[in-house]
Order: sequence, then C-alpha cells, then structure tokens
Amino acid sequence: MEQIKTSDVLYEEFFRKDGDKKITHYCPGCGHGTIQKMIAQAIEDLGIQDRVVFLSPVGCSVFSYYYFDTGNIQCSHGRAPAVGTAFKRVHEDSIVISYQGDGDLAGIGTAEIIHAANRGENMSVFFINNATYGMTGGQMAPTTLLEEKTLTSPFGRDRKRDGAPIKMAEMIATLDEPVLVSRVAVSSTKEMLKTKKMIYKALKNQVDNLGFSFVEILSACPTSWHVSPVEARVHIDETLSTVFPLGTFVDKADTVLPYGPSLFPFLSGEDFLVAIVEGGELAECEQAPLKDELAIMVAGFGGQGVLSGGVSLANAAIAHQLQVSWLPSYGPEMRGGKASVTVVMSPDEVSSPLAEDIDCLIALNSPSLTAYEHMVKPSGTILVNSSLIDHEPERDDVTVHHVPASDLAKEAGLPQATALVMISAYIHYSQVLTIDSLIESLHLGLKKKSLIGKNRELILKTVEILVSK
Amino acid sequence: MSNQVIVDADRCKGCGICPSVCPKGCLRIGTEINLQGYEHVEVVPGSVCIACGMCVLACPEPRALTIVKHTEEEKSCTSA
Ligand SMILES: Cc1ncc(C[n+]2csc(CCOP(=O)(O)OP(=O)(O)O)c2C)c(N)n1
Ligand code: SF4
Ligand code: SF4
Ligand code: SF4
Repeated sequence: MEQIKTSDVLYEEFFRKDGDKKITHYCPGCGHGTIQKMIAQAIEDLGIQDRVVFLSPVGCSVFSYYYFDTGNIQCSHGRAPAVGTAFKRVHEDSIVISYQGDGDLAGIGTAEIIHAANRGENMSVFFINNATYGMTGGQMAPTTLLEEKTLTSPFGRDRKRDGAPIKMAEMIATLDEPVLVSRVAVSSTKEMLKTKKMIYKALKNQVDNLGFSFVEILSACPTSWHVSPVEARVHIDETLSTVFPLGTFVDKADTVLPYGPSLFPFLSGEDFLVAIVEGGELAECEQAPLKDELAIMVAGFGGQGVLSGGVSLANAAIAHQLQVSWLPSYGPEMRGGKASVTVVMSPDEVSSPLAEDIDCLIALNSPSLTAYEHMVKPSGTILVNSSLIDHEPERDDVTVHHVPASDLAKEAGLPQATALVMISAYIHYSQVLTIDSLIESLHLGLKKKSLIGKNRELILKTVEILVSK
Repeated sequence: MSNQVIVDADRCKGCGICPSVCPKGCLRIGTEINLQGYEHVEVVPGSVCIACGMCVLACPEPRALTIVKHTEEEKSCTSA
C-alpha cells in the first residue's frame, strides 16, 4: 500500500513558542508552505537529510527551522549567501540550502547573492519571489509590479520614482559561474510539477559538486495581494509571469567540471609564512624563553614608523619561534594621525590579538602615554620617548625607561624609524628576544631595502647608548 | 477498493487550493470548523480518487492530506 504524503524531512510537530504544533505560521494558501514541502521531498528523494544545512532568511520564512528536521541557521537579513559560503567551505560535505525572499535577496542582500553567484559557490539557492515584503505587512519590494499598490506605494509603483521590477534570474544568468539559473512558479498543476523537478535538480547539482544553482520561484502571497489563495495562484500565471518570464536561463550541468577547491596551492605552516612575508627567508633563532603571552603596544602618530616597527618586532618574535599577532589601529590620515599597534607574542597559539591589559607600553608621544598608560599591567613596563614627552607617567607600580628616540632617529636621518629605536630599547631591557633577531628580520619589514644598513646602524647605536647609560 | 483520501482536519487551513487542483473533484471546503477556526476541506462522497498526488503537492500545509494508493493487485484482490 503506497502513500502519497508529506516528507518526513519536515517535523511531525512544530515546537514553536506560541502557536499550534500542527500547522505552520504561514497564512492560508501561502506559497512558502508548498515550496518548503517540495524542498523536503527532494531532500528525502536524494537521501541527504543528515547533510543539509537550511539557511532561513529574515522574512515570513524566518521560522523554517521549526519545520525542517535538518541542520538550520537563521541568518541576518540578506546575508544567507555569505553564511552559506563560510559554512560550505568549512564543511565541504554539507548541502547548503539558501532560502530567501525577494526583500531579503533582491533588496537588502543584493550584494551577497551576486558575489556568491559570481564565485560559483557550491550551494543551492531558492529565491521566493512574491513581489512584496510579506512579513512586514506588504510593502513595495524591488520585485513589485509597476502600478501595483502597496503600503509604501499607495498610488501604485511608479517607474520614474521607484524603478522597474528587478529580474534577479536574468541578472544572475549574465554571470559566468552559475551552473543552473531558472525561474519557475507555484501556480498551476503544470508549473508546480516543473518547480518540483527544478528544486530536485538544484539540489542534485550540489550533491554532484557542480557549483552554484539558483532557482527563482514565483510564489503567492494572498495576504498582501488581497486576493483569495486560489486567485493568487491564477494571478501568477496571468500577470506575474508576464513580467517575470518562466524558463531556464542557464543549465551547464552536463558540461561543467565538478566544483573544486582553488587551484592555487593551499599553504600552511612555514611555507605560508615564507609566501606571505615578502622579501625572503625568515631568520632562525633559538626558541625564546617565554612561558606566558606578552602584549606590547606601540603608540604614537603617523610618520614615526609605528606600524612597520611593530612588524619588525613581530618578525623578530617569529624568528624566535613564537606565535605572534600584529593588530594595527590608525586613523584615516596617512601621516600625522594617531597610530598604534599591539603585538602579542606567545609560546602557544595567541589567545587574542586584542589585548585589554598590556605588559609593555611604548609611548612615542605625550597623548599616547596619557591615553594608554592605564592599560599596563601592575609591574609592567612603560618606555617613554623622552625627546617628545616631558612629563612622567602617573603610574607608580610599573618600571619606566626613558629613551630619546626621536633625537636618535633624526640624527640618523631616519625619522620614520623612531618606533624602531624604542623597539630596540624594549628588546634590550626585556631580554625576551635578541637584537640579532631584530636586525636579521629587518629585510622582511622594510619596503626600501636600501635602508636596511642605516636601520641596522641605528639599532646598534641605540643599544650602545643604553648599555653605557 | 479505490484510493483513499485522508484529511487531517486540524492541519487544514481551508485555503481551497486542493479542491482547485483535483482533476476528479474529490475535495471541497466543508461547513465544519476545525480547532484553528478554519472551515476545513472534506472528501466529496462518492468521488473517485486517481491518486495523482496533485492535492498533496499543491497544499501548503504539511500532513494535511495523505493519499493511500491501492495497487492494481490489491484492487483485484478485494474485488475477487
Ligand atoms: C536589517 C533589517 N532590516 C529590515 C528588517 C525588516 N524586515 C523584516 S522582513 C523584511 C522583508 C521581507 O520580505 P521578503 O524577503 O520578500 O520575504 P517575505 O516576508 O515576503 O517572505 C524586512 C524589510 C529587518 N528585519 N532587518
Ligand atoms: S504574508 Fe504572504 S508570504 Fe507571508 S505568510 Fe502570509 S501569505 Fe505567506
Ligand atoms: S490524489 Fe489526485 S485525484 Fe486524488 S484527491 Fe488528490 S488531486 Fe484528487
Ligand atoms: S490545500 Fe491544504 S490547507 Fe488548503 S484546503 Fe486543501 S488541505 Fe486544506
């Protein structure tokens, strides 16, 4: 005895907070219910229930996770393709379904869908075009028909003022990467059968690893359209589909090569470091005798070499086989504005590049000392650029060193190496890293390789002065 | 024995879509009101369902409709 019934991929009962456990929250005759039943059936037919991650949008279908007995993520408005991209790239075996309305996909989320399509992300997108913002009460959507009266177009959609209905399937079809782009409708029996097949095909493509499939589905919203459910489905065939023609715009399933990871080599560990550090080999020094994480902040203004000095410090730490993060913070101006960088070094993985308490503050100007000295841990260190700072730190529970960094840098003709002078001093006083490692990493951080020699001299000079102090 | 149309009245919202797609006129909106307050669908007495599945496909509500299909064999068994 065979049964024709709803797929068990949809839960038997729906545990919505308030609401009946047997019925959906959709209005009577809403297209969402019919489409979601079709998707559930295709999931069952393909045997992929335990691999599916269903992305619910913001819109009337926001509660899809109450219905689909699959993995679920409820995404921010319009962002499902971005969420899906991340999920699919990390969990390659998952089947990602991005289910989105026209406000969601063709309004607030236009950028996300275009770029996911253009990258050919290996996912299946079902775009529910009901020509309105259903959830919020029937406002004009980018897909609303011309002259259509809605809450926000009470006299009808005006082409001059509001533009024309946006045709997403046609737009997506102009891109090179999508494998399937089609528009179907949940209207007559004939069209529903085609829709059912197209939903299956879009999911099958993903199972076969073919790439990005996009199915636009014209769907009834009897509530916003102010017609009966049966009339709404007739309206799709008679009116909506004349503006949004049904058909398949792209179908490369038989010709496209299976979706694969990037052809560029995936680098990790040492290879990765060498590839991203422009300019050559990393220096190799003994493992630094560091037990706990150290956070050092260098702060001053643009032009003092704050960020590049931080890079040199980070590279010296890498040379000593430490894990390092480098987190810059600067204003929009290239020069003269505030600039700071936090370098965290650790014998193990860095817990966070953002440090609330720091072990050492390297203050290159007076405002930086005032702004950040409270962040230094008790018994921490503050290095003061005595060329520019004429007041003492307020803190009396820390060690303070004075270094005339700007003067030394200026004398050497390298004002942009002020931070480097201070970092040399930090290394000298802290003894966590070595001056050699700083010098041998200079070529990695300096854009002008011809200045390596002068910078080396400046570092050595700084140390000489500090030793003789 | 003919195919059976099962309506779960409390899952129906009386939208009228299934009667509009049934090629055999097996379904109609009745006058009874279900738990949710909808006049739900009912099977037209004496109608013959051909188990085409269109009503199940078109209906927006999960599990409101189920068709029990009797195969030719079963049909001949019961009629024999
Ligand atoms: C960031 C943000 N902006 C706006 C809203 C308000 N909002 C909720 S749903 C929606 C549009 C829904 O329309 P659509 O995507 O067509 O889905 P439908 O409800 O018609 O299925 C809007 C604008 C929101 N929730 N979040
Ligand atoms: S408002 Fe429209 S889209 Fe939303 S549930 Fe009701 S009929 Fe469906
Ligand atoms: S299965 Fe076909 S014939 Fe039977 S009730 Fe449904 S629509 Fe009518
Ligand atoms: S289509 Fe479903 S909800 Fe609508 S009347 Fe028929 S059984 Fe009820």
